[in-house]
Amino acid sequence: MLKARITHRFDARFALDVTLEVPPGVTALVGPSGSGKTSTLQIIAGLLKADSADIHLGSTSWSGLPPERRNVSLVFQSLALFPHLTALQNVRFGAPSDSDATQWLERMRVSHVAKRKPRSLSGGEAQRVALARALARAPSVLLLDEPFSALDSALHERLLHELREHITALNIPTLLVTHDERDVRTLSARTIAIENGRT
Amino acid sequence: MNGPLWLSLEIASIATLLTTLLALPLASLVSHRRLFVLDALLTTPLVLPPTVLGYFLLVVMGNHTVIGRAWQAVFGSSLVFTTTGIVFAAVITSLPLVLQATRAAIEGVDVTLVNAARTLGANRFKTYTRITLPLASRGMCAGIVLGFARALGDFGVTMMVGGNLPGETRTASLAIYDAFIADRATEALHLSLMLAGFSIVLVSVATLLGRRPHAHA
Amino acid sequence: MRVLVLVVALLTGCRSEKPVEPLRVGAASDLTVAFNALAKQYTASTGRQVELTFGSTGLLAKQLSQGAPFDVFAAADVATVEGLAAKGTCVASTQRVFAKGRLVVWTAPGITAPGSLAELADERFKHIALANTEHAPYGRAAKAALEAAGVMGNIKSRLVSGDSVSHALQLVRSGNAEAGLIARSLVTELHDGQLLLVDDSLHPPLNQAAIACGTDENRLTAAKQFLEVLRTSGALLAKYGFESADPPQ
Repeated sequence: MLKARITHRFDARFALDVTLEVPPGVTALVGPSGSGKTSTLQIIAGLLKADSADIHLGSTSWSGLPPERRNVSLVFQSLALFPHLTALQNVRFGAPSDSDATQWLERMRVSHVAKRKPRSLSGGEAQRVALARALARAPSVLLLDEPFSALDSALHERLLHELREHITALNIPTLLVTHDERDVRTLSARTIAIENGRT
Repeated sequence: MNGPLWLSLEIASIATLLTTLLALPLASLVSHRRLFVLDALLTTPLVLPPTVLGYFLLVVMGNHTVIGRAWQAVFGSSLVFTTTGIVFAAVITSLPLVLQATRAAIEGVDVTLVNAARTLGANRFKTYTRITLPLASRGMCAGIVLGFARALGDFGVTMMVGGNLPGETRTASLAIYDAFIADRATEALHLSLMLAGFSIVLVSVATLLGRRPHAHA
Repeated sequence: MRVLVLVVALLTGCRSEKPVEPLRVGAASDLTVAFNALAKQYTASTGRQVELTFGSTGLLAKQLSQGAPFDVFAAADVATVEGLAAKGTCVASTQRVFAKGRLVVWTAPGITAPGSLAELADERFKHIALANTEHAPYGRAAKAALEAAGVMGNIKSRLVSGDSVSHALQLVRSGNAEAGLIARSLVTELHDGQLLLVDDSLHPPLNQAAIACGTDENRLTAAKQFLEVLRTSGALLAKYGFESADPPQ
């Protein structure tokens, strides 16, 4: 179980005041754009320093830990694949071993693009490589920031189903940022609504 | 006849290596707003006439000044009449080119990629060496090549503080000047052509590197 | 465009304020002090200003042959002037040897002058400055003198070259070289170093030659006037360390 209590004032007009409990399985964080969803993910990942952030995974406190020591994977909306590395090298970057990297490429059904650079991948292939990279590091928490928004709906649907299987198998707390009701239904996820910085 | 050319290449190579090593930490340092004075100070040699630098080396850092003696005590070699001095001058004059290019290249790296590396378990150092530097390398190389070309072409400082010593400070640009004045026309022509050819190649490489890496329709 | 017009107007405006165009004189570095005094005399007697440009004899000659607009050229050797006269760059009939320079050893502040050229081998002289041995007459003379004195082998690695004899002097005065082989004419008014006069039988004579250059009648007349002032200024030149030239052989 991931528990987070976050407050952060961005400017005079916008402040974040969020309390979250994310049990193993998928929890959707739903809200209109500009409501603070992405910032919440970045604070949990340790990429953004909040005024106050009390984050616990089980009994372990993440307060003050740099991102690399939180064992959290974040899949960015832009995917953020490293353009100078091949698909396999991208997955290997965070994976504990070569075989982990290869296995995850297989599980995500993109072994055939292992030696290609991101710019030559299709949208769906890139998406799968990004997910493989996030899962191959064996994270304790998975954060997904609207990861399928760029895909057509058939592909979108298929990837969601595959993802659900993997998450169920891994049994880790997963927080999915989305504004798409279909995602919530397909993943039969718990939902936390966020609006104007508040849950 | 190629002695001076080799010396020029040697000086420019050593200077460029030092400049690059200096530019990496300095690029991060001068990005801080508070250190704008350091930024300005390191950029100034770009617009400074070489004679000014030559004057400082002779008068402020000369063999009989406090700074000059301190330098000799630390580095075991004087700045006037030595290759060391010419390399030192070349580092100062080419640093702005390399520094500015490095800085722009590093600041141009997508911050999301840096963040992604951190969430994949890479600490700051690994992120810097495996992600930031490789992605910035293209832009940096353009600056490094220009810095090399600049170091290769110095005349003013070398003339003022070098003492025109064969094998030590008699660089290609100095040899060209002497050959020209002493009416050794062929030698001046050959050296000039070689230096010009070299510079054209270098600048072409820099231009090529400076283009957008993944530009495609 | 408007700015350009303005700049041109300003420049031409400035120029037209002067009644007579100045005489342009290119002179060897060793003549720096003497010619500044000489130019004042010339201006006083003719009303014409003088623009002086100093440099190494070789550099000025090269610039002249590439079209530099000097009306008078004064060199630290005769051969260079003869070369320009032969090429037709300058007017052969105006060529004149007007003085002879002397080579001296001049020391940096606080350094005792050597008693002879041979003493330059002493280790207190870590660097010894001279003018370019290839294209500067004083550099050539210095090299010849050091060889004739038999000291060249000992000090060769300590020699540092300036572009001109003035540059060599600055290397000494800034303390970067402990001694230099310099023109006496540059140090007659200095007090920060010590002097050793070099025996002039050790090197070819440093005869100074001048010549009028260019084709404009008006300017040529003015140049000849300057050469005439130069001819009659033996006392002034002597004051700045020059001697009368060797009689032609």
